[in-house]
This record gives sequence, structure tokens and C-alpha cells, in this order.
Amino acid sequence: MRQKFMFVVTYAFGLVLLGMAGKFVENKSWFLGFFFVISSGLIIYVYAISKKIPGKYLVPGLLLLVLFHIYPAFYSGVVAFTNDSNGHQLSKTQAIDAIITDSKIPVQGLAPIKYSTAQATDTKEIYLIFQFPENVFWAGNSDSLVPLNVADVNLTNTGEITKATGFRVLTSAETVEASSDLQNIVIELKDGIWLTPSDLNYLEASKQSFRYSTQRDELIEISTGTTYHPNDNGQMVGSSGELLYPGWKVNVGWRNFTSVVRDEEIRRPLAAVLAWTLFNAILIVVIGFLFGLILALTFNSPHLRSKRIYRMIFIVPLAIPSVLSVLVWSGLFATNIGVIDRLLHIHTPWLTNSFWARIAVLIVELWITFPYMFLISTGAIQAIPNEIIEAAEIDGATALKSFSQIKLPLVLRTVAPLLVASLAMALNNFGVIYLLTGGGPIFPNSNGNAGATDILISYTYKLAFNSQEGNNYGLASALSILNFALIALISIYGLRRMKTMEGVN
Amino acid sequence: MKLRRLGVGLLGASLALFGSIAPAHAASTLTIWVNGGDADAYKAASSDWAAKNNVTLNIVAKCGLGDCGMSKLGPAGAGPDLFFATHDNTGSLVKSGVVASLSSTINKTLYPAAVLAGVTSNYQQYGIPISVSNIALATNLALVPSGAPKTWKELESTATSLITSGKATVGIVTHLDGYFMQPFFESLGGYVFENKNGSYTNTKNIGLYSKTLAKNASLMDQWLSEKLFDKSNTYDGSAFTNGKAPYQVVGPWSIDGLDKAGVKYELSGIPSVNGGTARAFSGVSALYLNRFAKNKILAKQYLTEVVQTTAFSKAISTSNSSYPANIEAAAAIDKKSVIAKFGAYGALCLPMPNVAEMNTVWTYWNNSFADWASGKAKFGAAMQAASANLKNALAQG
Repeated sequence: MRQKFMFVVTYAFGLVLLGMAGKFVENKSWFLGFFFVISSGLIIYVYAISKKIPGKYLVPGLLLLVLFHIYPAFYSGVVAFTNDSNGHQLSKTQAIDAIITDSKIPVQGLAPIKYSTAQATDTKEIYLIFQFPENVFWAGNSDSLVPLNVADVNLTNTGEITKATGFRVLTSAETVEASSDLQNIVIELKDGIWLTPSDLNYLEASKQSFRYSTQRDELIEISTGTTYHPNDNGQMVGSSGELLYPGWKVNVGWRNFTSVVRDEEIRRPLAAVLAWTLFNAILIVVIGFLFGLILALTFNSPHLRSKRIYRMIFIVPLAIPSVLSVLVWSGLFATNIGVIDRLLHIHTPWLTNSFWARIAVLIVELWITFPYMFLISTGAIQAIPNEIIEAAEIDGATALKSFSQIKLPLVLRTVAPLLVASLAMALNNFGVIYLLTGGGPIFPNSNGNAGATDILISYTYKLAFNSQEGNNYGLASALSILNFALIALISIYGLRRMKTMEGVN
Repeated sequence: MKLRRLGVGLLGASLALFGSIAPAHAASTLTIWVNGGDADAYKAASSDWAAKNNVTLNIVAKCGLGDCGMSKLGPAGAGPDLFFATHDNTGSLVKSGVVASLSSTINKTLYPAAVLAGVTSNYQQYGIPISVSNIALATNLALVPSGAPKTWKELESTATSLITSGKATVGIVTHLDGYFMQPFFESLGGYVFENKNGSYTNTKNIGLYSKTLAKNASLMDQWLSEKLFDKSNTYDGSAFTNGKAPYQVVGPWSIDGLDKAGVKYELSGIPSVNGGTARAFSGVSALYLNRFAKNKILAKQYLTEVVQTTAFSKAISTSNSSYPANIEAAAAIDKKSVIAKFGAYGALCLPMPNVAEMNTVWTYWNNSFADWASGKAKFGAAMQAASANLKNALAQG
């Protein structure tokens, strides 16, 4: 019974995954579509067909690892080598097509031409039937343009064509159904006039102002004969350096990475940002840990009553989503009208002065970090066997000695890996900075991108999504990879140091 | 063993099923992404058309201030047919190539010229305007019984005498940033980009530190020291509602709060130092056509037969208390209503620049305002820096 139930659940889940795969394929996300087909098959195979026990434990984790870690990392790795940004989002064909359609010039003095949608009775192809000029009738689509005899066409007083020999004029409901095919129809008349349906009733006549030559890979402005050639940044450029928009996405190699050194704009505030990133992270881990440790020692005292209640209260900052609490803090810090300034009767420019903004960031970060530090310290202290402490006491160690020589090393040994992890997190503490100060107050001469409380990742964010080109995904990916490398290095160094500490014991 | 065979069979069947459902796609579906909160109004106003033409309308509340993620989703083929955006995105949407021209669809006689200019880029219209919004000046009638100021002199003397007598703590409650300060900035002779007949075509002509502004800049410093503006830059709305500030720069979004606080106020335009009215930036919300839409023709048909009708404009404006872009629908609004007051000032306002370069302007301009407010720089020097930085950045871009 239970087996059958599990069986049904497995298949149902597999089908859901297949359905998701279908959605991704529909949106042309080939990788994700492929991934979900494979994972659906794999899950059904492992849980319902083969029943291999190790697989049951490994498969879900592996699939999630691929989906949420490997795929995004791989994707940003790919993006980092492109110029993916506003103005460079399209493929080359899309971009050239966009330039040509956007520069179409409507033919002046020509009334919109009424048309009817019809289906050829023999080939079943869709044609547009229209008269242009007066009493000359045509049936056309992108491939062919056929003249019709006046006698073969039935024209109503309102200018509507209701019948044509050899064609079946579609009803309005059928026209709506066929509408998604109509948008691709371009009828080419002589004199370079193009007719395209502007809605379900009318054609608009226009002339192209650009022509694309596939052979020579250039755009030609028809009226002047000026040519535009693609440059290595994925954009058509004229001989005098004039750029045509939109551009397209191209591979730019290491350019995004080297821009950290090469681009004056990015480089200038980098040292200050880097210094504050490290200073902020180290300070917050050290102060947070000391604060947490002192609290843990205090609340571990056997003389204290209702310890559980105190401990529960200390968890509150950890339990409140930091998105909420940071926004509340930013309200508290408001100059003059904020709670802090009102209570203390001061006029501190908390968030608008570099020094005070940094203090405010540290206060909020401390508030968020200390409960975690308190928790792990409490755990570590309670894990120390009482006999050791007692033995120390018997040996005549003072409270201070027993703390510094026995408790602290033992605590550190347990929590050191957690501290390294906390440091890595603090180096990437985007949320607090972004919500509290937005990185501000802005440095003069940083062109508005970097501020006194900006850490590396928030600076990256502003460079990438606030720069003059709008969103610059390529640069963002490259910088976040560099950020990752930096934090990985610091963490590896931290873990190495930790190993040597283990040797002490 | 039996179960295993059944399993293999089911796996095969489900793969076959997947193959058959994936390409299925309805012939006449129209997907529209609208501003959060507007979805129901759109649905109600277009259901008749959808039923008549047998079109499935898929209206999703998804968009807000930005470009709805379209610069990424559009080219990937994951975008809707039509989407909502504010007009200041027009330039960057066009530059990215994700919107298609609506020049042949829009009926230009339905909209005021300034509104049309907002959705125009390179002489083509890219959006169908829905509504217009702008800031306005609220006068606290408890402090200023004579009502909204007719001239700048009146505003300044009323505010300063209230401050010196201790009745008020600040003259005008406002954010000290580009968007909110634009009317004051303009009345001193500053401008962002040259505007000709409502269009911004020459982004080389930057007026953040124009000659006239350079001459008048010290006035701003004087107003700051007179407490006409609050240098802590906190937008303390409670000062206005508590009767401690005679004036507040408000937007349509502030009205609910003012009404709830029960303060008596009058809305008006912001007077210019040179007489007449200073122009704030007006914003147009509009529907844009995705270049990669699955059904552009039907989308255009919908825009013509539904969105551009007076009835539709009225329906949307009633539902979200916005000022309609459609001239006829706007004329039908009660002249005494708050919406109409905003609209009356909005008609005089300047469309917010919709060129892609505007993104860069906000950064430098707002920073300079912040530097000035915090006392780091005099107004003239701050704007001179903004102007230089902006020119530098645009030259590099």
C-alpha cells in the first residue's frame, strides 16, 4: 500500500518537473528545459524504477546543487565575458532588424490603405487583399504580389473587399485568430515602398532608410549612401564615429575584468571602498564575537535565574527579517526627527555625514550579528566539561586565568570556523548597506558611484546598475567574480590560520 | 517486476505527453503587464472587447517605476505583448531596441503636446499615454488663511515671517533632490537638457550650471539659511500636518496621508521667482509594445479600439485616482477635485526628459543637492560640479 502511494507521488512529481521543462522550452530556455527533463527522468528512475538506495540520498542534493549553484555560477561566468548591458541586449540579427524597422519613413500624403485578410483557395496561404491606387487590386504577402482583375473583386461602399475570385475572405473572428501571422507580412511594392499591416484593418506604407548588405556586413543609408560597419563592441558605426542604436551582444574577452584597473572611473574610489570593506567586516566580527562571548559568559552564570527568558529575548534580532529591521533602523537614525535624535536631544547627521554613517552601519550590523555570536559562544561554553574548570580551580587558577587559559582557547577552537564563515558573510553584507545608507554619503569625485559606507559588493551593484549605460550585466558579473575571488582568498587564509590553532591543542 | 515495467511505460508515456504539450500555443492571446494595482481596472475596461473578438486577455500586475525587466525579458522572448512603463524610460527602452514604434497606431489628436513629447523618441511615438502625474504645492490653510501663494514674493514673505515669529519650523517641506527641486531650480534659470517644443533632442546643451543659474545661485543658499528649506533634508511631513510648516511639495501619492491627518490644505502650482508659474517635471505612464511580441497586430488593434477610447481613460483614472492623459477624459473631471488641481498644474509642467542620458543626470544632480543641503558646498559650486561631472560622464559614454 505504502509502496504504491510512494510510486504515485514519485510519478506525479516527475510529471510536474516535466511540465516545468515544457514551460522553459516554450520560452526557449534550452538548458533549463533539458535540465528538468533529465531531473524528471532521474527522479522517476531512482525512486520508482531502480530503487538504488545510495541514489535516493544523492540525487536530490545533486540536482539542487546544479540548479542553484553550478548553473548561476556558470551563467555569470559566461555573461562576464560579454558586453551584455542596456543597448546591447539583442542578437546581431535582431539589432539590425530593429535599426531598419525603426528608421522606416512613412510615405507622406498617403491615406492608410484598407485591407482584407484572405486565404488562397488552392494553397491555403494567407494573403492581404487591398486596392492601391484607386481601382487597382492586389493580393499580396511577403513572398508574392498578385494583381487581381477588377471584375473578380467585390468592393462595398465602405471600401471593404468582401469577395475575390480564387480567395476566401476571412471573417473578423478568423482574422483575429490569424493575427499572429499577419505581423510578419511585409509587401514590397515597386519604388521601394513597403506595406505592413498597422492593425487588423489598415496597411501603412513606408520607405526604408537603411539597407543591410549581408555580403559586406554593412548598413547603408539609402538617401546618402553612407555606410555603417560593425565595431568590436557590437554596434554599427559610421565613418565619422556615429553610432546606431540598438547594438548587440558580443564577446569582449577580458575587458570587463581589466576595467577595474583600466577604467579611471572604477579605479579611483576602489582603495577607499576596499579598505572600508575589510575594516567593516573584521571589526564587526571581532566586536560582535566579543560582545556575544561576554553575554554568553554572563548568562551562563549558575547564579542567574530565568536564563531561558533572557536567551530568548537575545534571539529576537536574529528572528526579525533584517530587511524589516534595517528599514526600521534607518527611520530611527533620521536626523532631528528620528527617535534616536529626539530621545537624546542631539542633532547628529547620522546618515548624511561620512563618520556618523559608518557608526550607524556598525551599530546596526552589531545588532544583527551579536545574537548569532551569543548562540555559538553559549553552545561552545556549555560544551566545556566542568571537570576541566574544576581542575583548574583546584590548581589555583583565578577566574581570569581560567577564562583566558582554558575557556577561551576551547571556545575559539569550536567557533573559529564559524567566525571565518561570518567574516565571509560580513564581507558580502549587501543588504544592510543597501537598505540603511545605500552606500552613501557619496564621495566627491567618485562620479556618484561610491560612498563612505560602500562595501565592494554594493559598489559593484551601483557600478553595474546605476552607471551611465543603465544596467551593465557583463561588468556586474565580472566584478562579482572578482569579489568572489577576494573573499575566497580571505576565507582560505582564515581556515589555514585556524588549522595552526588546532595544533595548539 | 510488474511494477518496474509499469514504471518504464509511464515514463515513456509522460515523455510523449511532454512532447505534445510543449508547442501548444493559443492563436489569439494578448498578454499585458500593467502597473501593480491596476490589473482589475484594465480587466474590467477591456472585457467586452475581449469577448467580442474572442481574445484571451492575460493581464498581469507586474510593473512599477522601472522598465519591467523588459530589457532582459523582451529579447529572450519571455516578455508580454504590451507593458506599462513611465515615459522617462522611453529613451533607454528605444536604445535597447526592446520596444516597437506605435506612430501609426497613436491618435495624436487625443493627447496634449507635452504628453506626446514624453513618449516620443527620434520623431516616433513608442507609447500610448494613459495618465499624467506631477508634484504640486500644498498650502496649509491653518497657518496661511489667505490660501495658495500667487507669487514667489508672497510665498517667501509668508514663510519667513512665520519662521521668525516661531510659528513655523520650516518654510517648504520638500525633498532636496532634482525631482522635487526642479521648479525652484528652473525658476532660477537652471535646466537639465535644452528643451525645444517639448522635446529633448540636444543632450549636449546641459544647463545644470547655466549662466542665469550661476548668477542666481546665491538665492538658494539664502533660502536654505532662512529655513525656507530644511537643511537636514528629511521631508518631515508631520511638520506640515502639525501646523509647523506653511507649505509642502506633494504628489498624488501624498493625498491619502494628508486627508487622514485631517489637515486643511489648498493645492496649487509653484510660483516662479520671475513671476508666473515654475515648471515641475510631469511624468506620463504609458503602454509600450514589445518588439518581440507574439501578436503585435492584435496588440495594436487593442490599443486603437480600447486603450485610446475616452471610456477606458476615464475607467483607469477613476480606479487609481490619476489624471488621464486623454484630453476628453481629462475635461470630464470635476474641476474642484484634487486630481483636477494636480492636472491643472501638470498642464503647465515640463515633461521629464525621456532620453537615456537622464539616468546619469539623476546621480550627479541629486548628489549635488545633497552636498548643498549638508553644507558641503554652496549651491553654485555644487551645481557647477554636477554639470562638469555630467558632461565628463556623457562624453565618455
